[in-house]
Amino acid sequence: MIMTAVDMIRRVPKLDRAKIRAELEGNICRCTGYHNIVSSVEDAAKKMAGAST
Amino acid sequence: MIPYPFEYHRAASLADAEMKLKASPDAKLLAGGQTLIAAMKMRLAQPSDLIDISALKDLSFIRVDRNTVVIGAGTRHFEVANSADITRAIPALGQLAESIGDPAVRHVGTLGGSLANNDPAADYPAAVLALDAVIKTRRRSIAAGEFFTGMFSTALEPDEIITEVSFPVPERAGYAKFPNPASRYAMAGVFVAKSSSGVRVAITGAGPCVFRSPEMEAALARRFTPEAIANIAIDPADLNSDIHGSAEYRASLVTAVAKQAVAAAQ
Repeated sequence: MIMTAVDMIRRVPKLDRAKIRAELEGNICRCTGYHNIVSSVEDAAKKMAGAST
Repeated sequence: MIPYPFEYHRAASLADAEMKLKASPDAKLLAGGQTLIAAMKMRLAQPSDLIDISALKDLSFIRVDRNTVVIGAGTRHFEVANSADITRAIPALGQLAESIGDPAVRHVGTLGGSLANNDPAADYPAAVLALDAVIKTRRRSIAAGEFFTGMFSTALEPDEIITEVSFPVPERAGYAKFPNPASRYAMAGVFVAKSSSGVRVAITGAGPCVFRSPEMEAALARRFTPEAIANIAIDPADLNSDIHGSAEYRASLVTAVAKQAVAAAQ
C-alpha cells in the first residue's frame, strides 16, 4: 500500500480522489472503506509537492 | 493454493526458448504470468515446464512513427499506458493498457502474453483486431483477422513465440468496457477504429473469443456517431451466459459500450 502510494505521488501530477482509488486498486485492506487511506495519500501528495519545490 | 509440480527454465534467448518449447510438448512460456500463474495455482493449468522469457530485453520496446506503433511482445501494460509516443499516436491503445487489471498486474503483464493466452475477457485482443494489427513471430507475420481462432486459442504453433505487434495508426479510435464489478474483467469491451480503409469494431468479453460486428462497422462508416449504432443489437446466440450475466444482458451491454467507445474516440 505504501509503495503504491509513493509511486503514484511521484508519477501522477494531479492526483484526485478518484485517481487515488484507481491507483490503489488491487491492494486489499481490511479497513473496508479505504477512506482514510485515500485521505492520507491526498495529504501526503500535498506535503511532498511542497517539499520538492 | 499450490500448483502441480513443474520444472522452471530461464531462456537465454528467443532461440533457446524455442528449443526448450520444442523439447517438451507440455511446456508453457512464462512472460508476465498474470494469467498463467493464477491458472496454475487454481490447478486449472498443468504445464510440465515453464520457460521464462521475462528477462529477454529485446522483446521489450516501443517504436512509434507516423503510420505505425510497434510494441515488443514483452512490453508491460504499464509501459504502454505511460508512453507519451503511444498516447500521441493511438491514445485509445494507451487508455486500454491503463484499464487492464490493477497497477500490480500492469507492471508485470505483457502484450504478447495477453494475446497468446487469448482469454475471452482480455482487453488487448479488441485493439489488435479493430486496428488490424499484425502479430509477428520469429517465422512469420499473422494478420489480426487470422490470429484469434477461438476461446484461449490462436493461430500460433505450439513452439512459436510472438516477438512484436505492429498497429497501424488510425484516424480515430476509442475503447470502452463494462468491467465485472468484482473481477474487473470486461463483461463487454468494444474497440472502434476509423481509418482510410473504413471502420472496424471489435468486441471482447461478451463472447468466447473477440469478434467484429459488420453491422456496426457499416453504420459507423456512414456516420461515425454513437447514435448511428444505437439500434444495432448483437445476436445473443453466440454470446457467453454465466452467473455474471445472461447472453441477452451481454448483448445489450455491447451496444451500450460500443456507443461509449465511439463517443470517446479521438
